[in-house]
Amino acid sequence: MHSEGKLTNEDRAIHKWQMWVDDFGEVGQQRLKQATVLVSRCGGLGSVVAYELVAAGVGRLILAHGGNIQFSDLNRQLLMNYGAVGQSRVEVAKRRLEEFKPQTIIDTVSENVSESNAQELVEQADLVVDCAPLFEERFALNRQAVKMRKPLVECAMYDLEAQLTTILPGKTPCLNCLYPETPPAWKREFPVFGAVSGTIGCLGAMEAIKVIARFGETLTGKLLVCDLRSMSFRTLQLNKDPNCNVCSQIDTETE
Amino acid sequence: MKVRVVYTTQVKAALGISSEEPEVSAGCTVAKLMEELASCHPKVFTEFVLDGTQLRPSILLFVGDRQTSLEDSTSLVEGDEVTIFAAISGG
Repeated sequence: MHSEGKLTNEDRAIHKWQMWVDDFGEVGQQRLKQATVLVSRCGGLGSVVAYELVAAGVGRLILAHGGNIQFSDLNRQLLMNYGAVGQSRVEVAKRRLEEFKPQTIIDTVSENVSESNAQELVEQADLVVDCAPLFEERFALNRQAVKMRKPLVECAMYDLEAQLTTILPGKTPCLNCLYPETPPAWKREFPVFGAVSGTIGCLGAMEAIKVIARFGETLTGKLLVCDLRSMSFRTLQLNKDPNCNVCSQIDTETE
Repeated sequence: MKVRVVYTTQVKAALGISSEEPEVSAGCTVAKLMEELASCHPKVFTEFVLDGTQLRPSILLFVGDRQTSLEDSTSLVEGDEVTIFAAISGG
């Protein structure tokens, strides 16, 4: 948890429109300010998640993303910009977020989440938002989030479709319950619009805000599936895998 | 009787259709339906949906809003909607 949690008069002035939300208020705002959120990748999804979390007043963000900005990032990675092509993604994202709101602490890790850094990154966070394209990264995050019982918001997209769920270890299915293996036909690069990643990024940020501030109804144990081609939205109930090799043990410990 | 099958993400892209309404016999289970669909679309089902007679681990199956599996012995009924979701990720 981020230690500098007291709301200042400036915090109240900046966030007063959302503090008018009845079941959020001053208490919710304080919870956001005290929170640290790890965002895995700040690409199409993660840029928007990070932007909205800073807008909402989360106290500290950890952004993990390797590599430099490429032209092909610019249809969706809204924290990047044309003039910064070739520069570090996380450093450009940090600059942009600090220009927006210098009150948020932005820590950057210029590498992607992996088995070797997942534990260290997840243990610093109160909540994790997974926006990564590679299933290896997603599985590493899931394993650590389950192990440390940290909430994990899972954002995914393809073409004009998107999926979103919130994992509460010990209570809901984990990522491994849903997809225990890397899909054999998955390709690292795929069709998508920035408006699709932006939509699901906003929804993922809203999930994170609700979980941290403890209000509203979250997608815990449910999968939101959207098809923006037909503007259809469905919420589906998910089943836990009783034999899941990641979370079934923690469930037993919880009981 | 007819049921509606909805394809999403990579499966939809590979098939080139978002849904179809196959005719199935009374008592048809979701496993039988997958077997019949695989015989109509062998290449795509082998690549994305089925590994032999098993569902690939990267696929989620729903009848209506209820998650199901090939072990589910419940018979489908006229008008049931079966959706095949493939695992997707971020970027």
